[in-house]
Amino acid sequence: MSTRPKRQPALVVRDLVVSYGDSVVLDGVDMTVPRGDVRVIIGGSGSGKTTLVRGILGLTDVAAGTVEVLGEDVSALDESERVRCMRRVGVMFQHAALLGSLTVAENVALPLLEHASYPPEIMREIVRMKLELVGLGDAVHRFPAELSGGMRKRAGIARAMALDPDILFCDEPSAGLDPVTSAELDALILNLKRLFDMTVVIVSHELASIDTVADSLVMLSGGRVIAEGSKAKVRASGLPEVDSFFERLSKGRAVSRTSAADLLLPSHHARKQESQ
Amino acid sequence: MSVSAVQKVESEGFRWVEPEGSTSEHRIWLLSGSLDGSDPQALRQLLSHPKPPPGGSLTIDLAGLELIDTAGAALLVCLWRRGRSRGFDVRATGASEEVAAFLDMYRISGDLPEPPRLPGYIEGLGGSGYELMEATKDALFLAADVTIQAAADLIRPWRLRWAAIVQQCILIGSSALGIIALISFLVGLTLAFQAAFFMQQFGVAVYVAGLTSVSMVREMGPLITAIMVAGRSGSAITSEVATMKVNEEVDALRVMGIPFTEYVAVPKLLALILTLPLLTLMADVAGILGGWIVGTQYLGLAHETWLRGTLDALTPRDIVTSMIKSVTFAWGIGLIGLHYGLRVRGGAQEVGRATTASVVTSIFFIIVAAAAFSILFYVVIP
Ligand SMILES: Nc1ncnc2c1ncn2[C@@H]1O[C@H](COP(=O)(O)OP(=O)(O)OP(=O)(O)O)[C@@H](O)[C@H]1O
Ligand SMILES: [Mg+2]
Repeated sequence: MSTRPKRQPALVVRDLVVSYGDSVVLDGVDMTVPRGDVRVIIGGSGSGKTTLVRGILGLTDVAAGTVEVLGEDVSALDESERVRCMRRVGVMFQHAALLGSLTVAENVALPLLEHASYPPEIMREIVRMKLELVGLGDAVHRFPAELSGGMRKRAGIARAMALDPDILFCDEPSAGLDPVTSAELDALILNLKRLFDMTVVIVSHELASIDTVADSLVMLSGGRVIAEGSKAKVRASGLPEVDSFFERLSKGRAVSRTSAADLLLPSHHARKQESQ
Repeated sequence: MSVSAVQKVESEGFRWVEPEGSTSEHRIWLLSGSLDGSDPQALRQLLSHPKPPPGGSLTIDLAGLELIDTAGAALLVCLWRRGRSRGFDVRATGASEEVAAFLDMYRISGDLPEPPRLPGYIEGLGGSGYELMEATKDALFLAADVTIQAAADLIRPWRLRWAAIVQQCILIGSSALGIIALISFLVGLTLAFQAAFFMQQFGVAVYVAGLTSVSMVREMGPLITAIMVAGRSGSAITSEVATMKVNEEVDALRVMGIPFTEYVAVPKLLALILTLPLLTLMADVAGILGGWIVGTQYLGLAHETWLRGTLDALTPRDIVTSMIKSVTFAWGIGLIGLHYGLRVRGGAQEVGRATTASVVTSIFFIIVAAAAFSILFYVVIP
């Protein structure tokens, strides 16, 4: 929950450098994501998209650069301040990263138990509501090992959403999913973004998905950002990397394109006033 | 009976008023401001405030509400559930378009399924010379981190995840009981036979009792137990932590702001430190029993003679030594297990390798530590 002015960017990355041993993976990445934006990070395999997200989240050591999340320079925070700041960030990992020893419901309850002192009754209700939201109302007591890949991802989203975060990171939410499930996931992300006024940062390879959800794109290549901005702007940039990326992927488009509008719930978000 | 207009709650952004016209049978609540999770106390008060009797009604006027989040929506659902189970009507009215859209997203209408049970515990529920140096540094940092955290938690025991600790203790203890007892019994038996063979020649068979008991309690008991636990539970800790690491679960905990040390490492370490001494005591007893069988059956000593021989030789100091050793072994097994688990990078095949390395290192540590203890207790502070 936040009352900060809308115009302040949700995420600012400045001159981020990450290297593994001698190989420099990110060589000075700059990126600014406005609040309420759905930003998709694109780029070839191995171009450092996952590394960028991990660097932002503090999961990978960065050699240089600063990261500001919701106006706070996270690299300058000590551990307890970082935890407080991370409370407002939700992360959906590429393979969901659900805790295997807990049921789906317990996984979603975990951040609530850790960070919020709600009465148990309300906590259980929140868990149920989040799981219904992602269509896992029937799987609450199953263990992650008993779920399909897509169900795990949806459970991962429910967990990332447990505390109504201000920013949601998703690493390849639709990779490995069938087109229908993948479109449903896109619709869910859009819906969450609208109703929660959430900023969403997505790593994605899928053009269908990019077309549906993205407000803006950033393309990584050679450890740098080679294009950033609205979809149209990036596509019109004329860079060979951008062209070949969209050329190659546009073949699959007709198959997996699903009308997002059909899947959307009411589109007003409850926090409109907050920004006024 | 009418309830006069009272300001019930006023927190930073949230106001709750029961206006004129609200009676104890037909209550009206006016909520305004932001109904969100930033003020759990307000949510709690709303939940516990007197409700209408069966047949009555509760009207929740949301007209003044500017902001609602999932916690607020959950509260409304909880109130509605209470009404249904106790037979009063709950209605929410006047929601703005935005608030209504938010509630709609969660499909709060019609019959709702039961919320899931959450167990009360759920923890409320891991080369070259340079690499060796790095690994040692990591291991020392981990040892310091986990040990300090465990000590800090022991000072504030109410903060510990007792359910997790007890569960781990059962896991470590119950399944290892039988095998450790059997092995200790057989080792006690063997020791006694060996001793009897020589002592009989000198006509001092009665000393077999003391020798067996003291050897079991001071050396063999702690050693056997620690090696068995390293093989069973040390390896389990490594493979569990390594799997968590490979599946990004460790990272997931980190971004959720849940410290791995507190959530995973400390319960496992404390469980080992609690369980190993108990298992060791049991191993001591089983070994002494083995010796007793040899003494009374093979050597033909009287039960009384055997008992006296044992009690004369065994001092409280021996038992304290046994306990100090087993706590140290437990600490080492736990930390080595965690260290190898956390060191895993890459895929699932690494998990197996880490587990093997962990067990070998643990056993090496146990034997080196046992030798060091012998020097300490026999030479340095005899
Ligand atoms: N832990 C690591 N150690 C060494 N090198 C790494 C590590 N993680 C990633 N890399 C290297 O960093 C580069 C970028 O990897 P990254 O995972 O960020 O790529 P990506 O853009 O997410 O690719 P993909 O689309 O295939 O997921 C790759 O060359 C990879 O080999
Ligand atoms: Mg990746």
